[in-house]
Amino acid sequence: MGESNKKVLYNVGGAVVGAVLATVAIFGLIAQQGSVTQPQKFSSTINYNQ
Amino acid sequence: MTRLGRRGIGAIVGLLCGVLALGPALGKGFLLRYDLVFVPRLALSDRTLGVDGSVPRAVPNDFVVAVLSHLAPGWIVEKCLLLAVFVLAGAGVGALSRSRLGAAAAALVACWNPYVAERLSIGHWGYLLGYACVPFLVRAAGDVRAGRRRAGARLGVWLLLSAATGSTGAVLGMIATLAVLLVPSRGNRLERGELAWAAGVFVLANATWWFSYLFLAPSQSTSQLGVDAFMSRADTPWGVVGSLLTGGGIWNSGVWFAERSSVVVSCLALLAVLLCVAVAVADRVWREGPALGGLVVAGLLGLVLAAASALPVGRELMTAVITDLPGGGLLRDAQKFAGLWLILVAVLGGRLVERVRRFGVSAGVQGGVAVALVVASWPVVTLTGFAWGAGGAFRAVDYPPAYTAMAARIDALPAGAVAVFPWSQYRQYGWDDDVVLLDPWQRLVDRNVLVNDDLPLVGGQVVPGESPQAARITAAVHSGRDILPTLREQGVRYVLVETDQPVGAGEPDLSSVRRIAAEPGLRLYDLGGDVRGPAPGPGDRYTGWLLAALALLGVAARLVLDSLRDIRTFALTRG
Repeated sequence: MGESNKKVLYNVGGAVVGAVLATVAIFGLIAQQGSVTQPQKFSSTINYNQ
Repeated sequence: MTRLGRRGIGAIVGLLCGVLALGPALGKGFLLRYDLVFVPRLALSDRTLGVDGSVPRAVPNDFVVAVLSHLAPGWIVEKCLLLAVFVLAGAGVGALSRSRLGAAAAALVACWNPYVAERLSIGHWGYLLGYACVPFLVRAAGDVRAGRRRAGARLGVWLLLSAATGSTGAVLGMIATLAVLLVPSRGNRLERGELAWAAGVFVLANATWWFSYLFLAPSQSTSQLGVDAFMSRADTPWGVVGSLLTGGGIWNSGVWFAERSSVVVSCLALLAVLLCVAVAVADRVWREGPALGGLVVAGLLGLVLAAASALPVGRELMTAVITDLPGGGLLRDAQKFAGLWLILVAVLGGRLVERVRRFGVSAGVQGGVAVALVVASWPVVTLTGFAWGAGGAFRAVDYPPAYTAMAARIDALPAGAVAVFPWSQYRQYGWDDDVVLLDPWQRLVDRNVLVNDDLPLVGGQVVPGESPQAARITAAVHSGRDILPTLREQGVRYVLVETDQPVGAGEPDLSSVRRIAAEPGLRLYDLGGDVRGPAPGPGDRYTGWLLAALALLGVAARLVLDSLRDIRTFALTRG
């Protein structure tokens, strides 16, 4: 593979990786925001893992 | 202008991660959640020294906090210790990297991962400081193997610092140290004296907790229920091992990060870790010297220990060790050992990014840094929920004036232990956003405070506590009879009732007891009369601290001797 082809491959690969990472980051932020809930039930016991 | 070295770059990346992760929690006030309990001024007492006969869970790290909180307000001490986790972890793995770009990438992995996020969220700051000491121990032990100047003294200093973080941090550090000292390495012969030195400093420096645990604390074996409750759990769709590989897997689902349950996000994290490992295997990194070789061994051992209790054969073995062997309880909550794996992944993550840059340079791309930096961002991308105090969940709050006033009032009272009701260990305060929090009264006042140390879990399971005194009170509370006489028998004179907490069954009837103080949310009662206080501890209860002082003196002596030897060598070569 010639150096110019390698350079194109590297830049295109980098752009694809960047796009994938950006998409996953947005996905993660949405998942985090969607998980914010308010406890609705009263319990007489406070559990360590609640 | 002096260029920053790898360690400096790692420290800066670590500091930036710390500021971004703690976010609003860095404001004035305390970050209070789960086991993370700091108070305005922690008293220097037998409890903080771990010699009061209770199980020494926060020894000697509570002693460190007590000393520091006499120098600065408790909330500043807390923030400094939490930021130190990030700065040290970043600097430590940065120093193990080969380039500044690799150091930055490694620091990002070491400081921004589910292990740090989940352990910070549950408040295990001592574990995290111990985790942050690991790369320094690896480096120092590697230098010992290479015969570098003052390496033995440096290793001693880091073993002392690691011991100061508590039992878990010290054990993590010692596993890494032994792995580096013992791993076969061509041209790096191990001096047996150095191995004995490391083992000696470790044993003596950690006597503060093992002496108390073996000779002063109640000798109760760890319950099977506790083993099951605290074993690693899958916080991703990739099972326990997949979760541990990416640094998650803590047993407490209350501190899991939501995006970890996403197949897409956790898959990317797993792929990134596997890619780091693949590059390391291709490079045969374990052949690059004892530091890296030992870190590979320690990382794999940490992963095996963390996963063992969740696997069929390992489960029985771990259960037997934890329940039957003295000190086996250290293996409970085994996910903490994944910290060793994460330090290894951090160093390998740095090498992955270096390789990406090398590929770019070989392809004729100027510098090749841009794509490398994109690749380096994977830890943040796969754990965005950690940002800005876990999306605002980490907040700084002040204890209400009622708490500080009540604490001062209790400290001024005649002798007698305090029992805190409702009879449970965890609280949810409106002023702390209803976050689950270990009852703070054992730290807020300078006297013996009894709380129920049973651990209630979702689903109705209760992991039995270890205090015999608390167990007797629990029995009385459950039976609903003779609660006040039982309290007196256990040396309790004062009962503090937190009126803003959910009340379970069997709380004592205090209508006939004299109320001596009332603040919003708090009532203090005096059971009256002289109560039988706890028997004075044995005179030799400070033995562990004397042994630790010996370790300190030994390391100081070696530092001085090494310095004198250097001066002499310098003088001889000049003369």
